[in-house]
Amino acid sequence: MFDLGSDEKIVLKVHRHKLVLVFKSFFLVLFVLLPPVLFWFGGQVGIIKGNELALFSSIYSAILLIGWMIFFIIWTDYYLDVLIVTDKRIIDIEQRGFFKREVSTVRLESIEDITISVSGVIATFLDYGTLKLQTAAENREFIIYDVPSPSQVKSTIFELQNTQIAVPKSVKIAQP
Amino acid sequence: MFQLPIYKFQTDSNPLSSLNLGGQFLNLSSEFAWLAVGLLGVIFLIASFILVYHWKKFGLDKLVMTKMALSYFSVSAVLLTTMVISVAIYLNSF
Repeated sequence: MFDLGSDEKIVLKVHRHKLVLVFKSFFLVLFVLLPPVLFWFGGQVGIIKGNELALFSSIYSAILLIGWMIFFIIWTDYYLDVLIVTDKRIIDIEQRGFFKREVSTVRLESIEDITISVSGVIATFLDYGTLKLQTAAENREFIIYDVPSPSQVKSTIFELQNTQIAVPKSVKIAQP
Repeated sequence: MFQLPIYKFQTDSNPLSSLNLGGQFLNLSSEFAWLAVGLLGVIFLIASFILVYHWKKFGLDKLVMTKMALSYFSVSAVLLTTMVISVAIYLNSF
């Protein structure tokens, strides 16, 4: 995954807002609601033979199982997408499906600017938005979407950055 | 003596009963039903293997991962068992 330094501590773990998970998995409601409706309709027009309840139960269980697996696939994708703030650096892990994973790291002292943007009614009320970290490296920008309480995350990063800059670094002087 | 032919309905009085022809489609053969159950079982095993691999290798919080794994496998077990029992009951109901 990623290796932490010996004296490095995780300060913050930020996942995307839970609403993202709700939106992504909302279609699964159909898996729960549609089969009983179809079964009721099938019963009305008489296209089901034999033990109707057993047939419905078997098909419904299969559909619910598929829905349950899909939900966990979505949840895993959501949960493994994480921004980790340590006292030395920021690690952004992007899980894109099961077989693509990107891990980007930026040291706190190389962050030049942090921008947050909260746009939209839902984002304003539920307090989530986009966090942009501009680094010293050329054209290097970290963009993290749907971060809950972005201003709090921003101030934590600033505090850590100030602490990091304030710590005097030991310098070895070569003896002639 | 001349007698008019008596026309007799072969089906019940439900005007929609002609749709009973469609019953053939839902009258599952046992081989097909068990094949479908087996296929779903294999898909479940593959999906579970991939999920558990990711939870173990990339999961940050062990407690959260354990809770989710527990709920995933317990609910799946209930659904799989319900499905197998229901298929068995349905196939024995003819």
